[in-house]
Amino acid sequence: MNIYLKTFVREIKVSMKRWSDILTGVIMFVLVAIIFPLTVGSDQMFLIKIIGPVMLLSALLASLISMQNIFKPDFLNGSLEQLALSHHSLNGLILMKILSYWATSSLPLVVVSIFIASTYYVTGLSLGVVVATVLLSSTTLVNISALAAALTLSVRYPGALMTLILFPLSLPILIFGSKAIEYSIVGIDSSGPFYFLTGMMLLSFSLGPIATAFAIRISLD
Amino acid sequence: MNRNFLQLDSLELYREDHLIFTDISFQIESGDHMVIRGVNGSGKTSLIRTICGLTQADKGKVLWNGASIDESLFNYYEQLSYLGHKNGLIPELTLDENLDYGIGQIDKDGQDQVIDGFRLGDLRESLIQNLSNGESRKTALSRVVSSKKPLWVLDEPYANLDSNSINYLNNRIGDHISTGGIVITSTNRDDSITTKTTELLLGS
Repeated sequence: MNIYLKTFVREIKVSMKRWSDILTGVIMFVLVAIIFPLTVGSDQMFLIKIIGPVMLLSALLASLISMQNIFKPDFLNGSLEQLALSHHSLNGLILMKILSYWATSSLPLVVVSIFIASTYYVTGLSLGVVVATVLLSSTTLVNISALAAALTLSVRYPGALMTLILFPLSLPILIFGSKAIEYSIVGIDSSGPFYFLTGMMLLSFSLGPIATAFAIRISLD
Repeated sequence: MNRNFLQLDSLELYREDHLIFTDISFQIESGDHMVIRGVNGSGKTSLIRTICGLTQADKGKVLWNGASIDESLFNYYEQLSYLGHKNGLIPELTLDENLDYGIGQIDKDGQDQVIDGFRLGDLRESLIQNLSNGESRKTALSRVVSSKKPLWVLDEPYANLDSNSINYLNNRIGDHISTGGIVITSTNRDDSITTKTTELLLGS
């Protein structure tokens, strides 16, 4: 089997063994997102107005929890330095780690967001837009959080520093993501913010793994 | 195996203004087993990490077959098998799963032999987190010892091992250097390492 494919499969397998990490992120997402419909009641207009920011903010909080575990365990048990010493491209191996992290941390959020959106009285095409926005923005967030996690690997208590790196970088996604959802619900053409989100996602996937691999080499020094 | 050689050219390393080592130069070649000896805190691990390119030296160069490793890192890593203080094993996976993920070129038959040699045969399906320190260490050593790469760099390989395993490891190192390999190990003890051909004393 190709080494990159092998890395992906192994990472998924390890994540499944560390299932409580995955679950914590999903629970966080559901808790934050569901509290509004539960407390506000059936005020449809209000719920429709806030669903965008709420969804994206919950995704951000979820990734803040799960990002601690992208590289840290492997850094501590030494398998990350073995990865850095392989003669395969570290960028490629890190891309595989990020992809598997995406599959285990973001994909569940996308699935769950379908059900959460219906509690906000979002239906039809707008439901699709909500799900697509969560998909695009959480995919970008995965890359940003991987970078933030890699940069703070050698810091003993990295929580605050990670947050400081993550928040400013994720603000554009929060803003444009909320706009995409708002426009589609109100009935305005939302392709503008969508193009932006897609562009951000492509950019983060093309540059993210390279920057992350570089940050890992620095952290191992 | 081709003849290879590794050169260190006046290496110097500082950590937060604190001198770790200075002016380390040597050359070793195929057939050599260099033992880096020194008390705790004398910079053995730092030196080993510098040799592997994990740590950047402040001055000096590491050269593999005459070329600086910074310029041909992937080329160098194709030849290098390293084991640090940490075993580099994933505790949630079994011994076999960990060893199957061969980042280096590993020959399967050779690996089975090494696993038997270290008497790990019965533990192949056990999770690494359920193994003892010595057993995990031997698993990690198996990965290096069964790799076909010419340069082995081992940080404190003898720690935590019983005497049978030390003998076995010595045999494998002996085989490796007699077929043209290069081995670098570190130790903080004085006991004679039978396969040693040259020694570097740190921090005296």
